[in-house]
Amino acid sequence: MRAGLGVRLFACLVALLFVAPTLIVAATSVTSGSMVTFPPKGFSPRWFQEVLTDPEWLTALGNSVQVGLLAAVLAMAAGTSLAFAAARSRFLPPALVTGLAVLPMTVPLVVAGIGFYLVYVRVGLSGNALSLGIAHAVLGLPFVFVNVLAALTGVDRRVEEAARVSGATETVTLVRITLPLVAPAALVGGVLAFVSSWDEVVVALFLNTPRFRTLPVVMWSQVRSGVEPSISAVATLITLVSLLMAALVLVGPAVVKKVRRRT
Amino acid sequence: MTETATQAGPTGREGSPGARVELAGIVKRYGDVRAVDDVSLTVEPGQFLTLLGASGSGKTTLLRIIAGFVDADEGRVVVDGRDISQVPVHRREIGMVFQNYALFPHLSVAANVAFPLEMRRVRRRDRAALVERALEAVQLGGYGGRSPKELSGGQQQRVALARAIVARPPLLLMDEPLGALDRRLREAMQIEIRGLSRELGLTVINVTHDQEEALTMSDHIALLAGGRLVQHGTPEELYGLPNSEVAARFLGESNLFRGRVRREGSQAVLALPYGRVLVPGDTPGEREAVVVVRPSAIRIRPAGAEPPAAAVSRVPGVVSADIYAGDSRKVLVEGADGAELVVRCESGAPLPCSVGDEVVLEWDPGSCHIITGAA
Repeated sequence: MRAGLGVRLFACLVALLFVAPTLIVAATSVTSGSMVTFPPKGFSPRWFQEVLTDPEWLTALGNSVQVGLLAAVLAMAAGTSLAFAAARSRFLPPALVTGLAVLPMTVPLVVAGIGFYLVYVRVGLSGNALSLGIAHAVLGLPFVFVNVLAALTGVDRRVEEAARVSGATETVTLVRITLPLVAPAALVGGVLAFVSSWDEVVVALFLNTPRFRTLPVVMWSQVRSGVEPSISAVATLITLVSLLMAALVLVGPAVVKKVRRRT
Repeated sequence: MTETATQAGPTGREGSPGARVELAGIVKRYGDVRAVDDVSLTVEPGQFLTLLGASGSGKTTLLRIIAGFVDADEGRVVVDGRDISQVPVHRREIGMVFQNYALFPHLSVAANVAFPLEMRRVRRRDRAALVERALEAVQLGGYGGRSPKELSGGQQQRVALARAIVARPPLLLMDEPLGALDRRLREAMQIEIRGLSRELGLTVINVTHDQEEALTMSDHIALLAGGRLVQHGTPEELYGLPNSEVAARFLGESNLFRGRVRREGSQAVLALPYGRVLVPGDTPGEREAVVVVRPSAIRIRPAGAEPPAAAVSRVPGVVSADIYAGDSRKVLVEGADGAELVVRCESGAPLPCSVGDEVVLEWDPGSCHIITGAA
């Protein structure tokens, strides 16, 4: 059935409403003036140049990338393990594992932030990529868990049995057959974990120190002292990275399949 | 390819490549249910055995016990004199074909077939030739570069077969290998699998619920019902000499007459309130018995016809249906006790009756089979 003209117009309107704020911010970032104005005055890449040469922004960018990658890798490892426990464990009830694994989605960020802060103060872990990376890994874990669990329940047990009867130990079967089959799902979950870490500000604020701040934290503190077009430029850059990741999630699995077929 | 290369294979087995498999007192319980109940049987090297039974008969459980996926509660699985009950699956040197193919979806056809070789540490440079030979054996030469998803169901099952035989295991297990294929392809594959397993000399244990498949492919059939081994023998024995009502009913159509056997002069006769069923052979004393008559052994005569001179069994009835089935004609007759009897006639010959007619069914005593000791 084809949608009528009215429905299509309405859909376009809703879509426009969703992206309008982002577009406006992006527009303000290319102003040649020194105020955040819409529409922008003239066109100039000066604010991007300023951001990309400012050591404070660059350090924050590096921190964000580090934290995001760490969060993604840790979330992939932990989320995949938990998904296996939920799908395959003989003694752990699946409902319990699933409940625990998706808990970070439901806990308010403020509560999570305070919790991590208190624990880190006690164990003396703070002000580095590891501390925030672990915290963000916990927040990103559900993305990996849900994805891998879905992929894992789709894996035919007889495929694994075929590997076993072909002479593969349980470990070899896991490494050669099962993990490759769920790897695309784990990767998608990892990308989502990265993206969620990339713009996460609440927990990052609780855990920030003057010497270790991520991009959203620096943005937040700068906004408090007045909005400059440099903020718009950073916001635009952050959005572009997130869009890139989203594209990766959408196109990635198809590319992986193509590469695999060639080898 | 030289003759010695065929026999040695990658596992280095010499001589007869098939394994001798012995099942001794296998029991498997699930709660109170005995899924496999004290099954003992022997499969000789190179033999094609079919485990036949309805769903829930324990045939698949038994196969999974042989493969090592399920541990038996009692009994032993002995292969070539070695008790492998405690040997893990991956060291049992078994090839297996699954109903749903169970190919590795992320690997190419060639990588699928090469997998068992890789696991058995066959040198990389020897693998390609062995893989291609196995693919040629299942008529898929040159398909190595494809992805399993690009192949049809029949082709996928051929790849699974190639994967199962590539390392020349002495024992090939098949779990309803043709269940997912359509009828024509299934019949073609039956012949192909049978030819291939003979050529390779493999011992094969095949699981199916399809009696036709069992009769066509097997050297021996083990009929299972309710976890128990009902009868074990050649297809001819199971069809021609069923040892129980279960066996008679499961393999082919049959008419069963139950009663006490007693002597009338020189002839043993099954005492029925209607008709006269002669029992072949020398029968000492009175006892309970079941007489099995195959539908094709029965002749139909109009009710008033003269009985022939020779001693024949005669049972009256009313024709209830006449079903044309191409090369034969299936006539259903309602017996005097209300039981439905089946008769198979040649479809070319005209039928001496029509639906609703009273008829007499006749057959020679030599063409029936008697099951004794039936309760």
